[in-house]
Amino acid sequence: MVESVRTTYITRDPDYGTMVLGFFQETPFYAAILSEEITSPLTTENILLYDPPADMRGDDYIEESITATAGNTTESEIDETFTFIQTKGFSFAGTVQALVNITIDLDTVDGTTGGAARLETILVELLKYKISDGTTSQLGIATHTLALDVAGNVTTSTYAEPTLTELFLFDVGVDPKIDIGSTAGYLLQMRVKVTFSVHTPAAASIQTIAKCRLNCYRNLTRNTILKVPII
Amino acid sequence: MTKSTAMEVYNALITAVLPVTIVDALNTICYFSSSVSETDVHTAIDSLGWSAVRIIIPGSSGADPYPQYLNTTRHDELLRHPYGTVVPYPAIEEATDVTITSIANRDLLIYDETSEVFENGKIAADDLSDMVITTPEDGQAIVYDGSTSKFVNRKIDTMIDALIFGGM
Repeated sequence: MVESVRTTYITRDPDYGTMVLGFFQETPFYAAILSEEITSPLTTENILLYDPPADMRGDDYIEESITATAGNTTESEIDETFTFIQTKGFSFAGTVQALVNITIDLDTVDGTTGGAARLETILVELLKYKISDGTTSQLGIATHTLALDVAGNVTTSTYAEPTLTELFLFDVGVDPKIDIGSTAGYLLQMRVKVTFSVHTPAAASIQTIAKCRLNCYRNLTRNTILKVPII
Repeated sequence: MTKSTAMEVYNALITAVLPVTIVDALNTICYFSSSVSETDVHTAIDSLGWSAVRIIIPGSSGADPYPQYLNTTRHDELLRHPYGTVVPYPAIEEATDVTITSIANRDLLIYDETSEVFENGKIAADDLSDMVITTPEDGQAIVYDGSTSKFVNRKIDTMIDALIFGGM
């Protein structure tokens, strides 16, 4: 067991001082991008990574860019599925946490009239991928509507690239536990779908461009992580 | 409070001819290219439902933007607030259960059970818990009465007579 990766929690209830509420182990799986995709047991470059370091030549984030013409709002999305590809088995149960880290970037604006980039929603879906036939079954799904935006007439990165981490909780139950690995015949997947939009005011002479980034493992302060209670 | 979009706040600030550059609704921060006053910002965005919002303008006047936090500048010791400087203390008459009327030299605060407040005044000898004054007369003194465990008022002559006759 790697101490820094797998942590044991003993929680005390503040109302009762010394009562032990829970004892569980929680393992973070980091969303990471491979520089070269794997092809077996499935084809992907988006993985869930248990043990750092990641592929140093892989990208740090997945980015989409959209443009809105004057007087219009345009919407786009990032929709990616990350797979835990290590086939050694493990089981988990209880509450799974997904921490999704997003950057919304107001990339180009009219210097006078300005523009806006908006983070609309984040969807997270937990999936079990069946190795034998490539089908998936859903363990949980949740959508958070954020409707948070950044507006202005400058694009200086210090000011115009806010980042947030959104927490999603999934209760997958404790009986039966969920078995993952080559023996069980399943892989664990996390799908993240981010919708965002860009708006250009009618009076603007320059179109607004917005970029949205789904941050993956590399920068320790901006990570998308799936925390799984291993049993 | 309703939360307006960054674009709505930005447009309100631009309409008010304030030098706004970025409105970041994720972090609830507005950036300006030059100094602005809190009053002007409130005037611009109060109609968006932000009238109750406290606006902090770091660096605009050198004021501390986070006065709610303890620090060694405002507090010479972490566990002590120096009275009257960092934490001003109020005059005693500002307490809700105190009524001060025509304050005079050597007045004390005395609780009045009828009005249920502390009032200023001077105490009478009879107000002491171990003293009983009954129809005071000229020439009387305060003497201790062992039978009642109280100080009482009596004539000195009577007391001396009692001592003399009692001694014989």
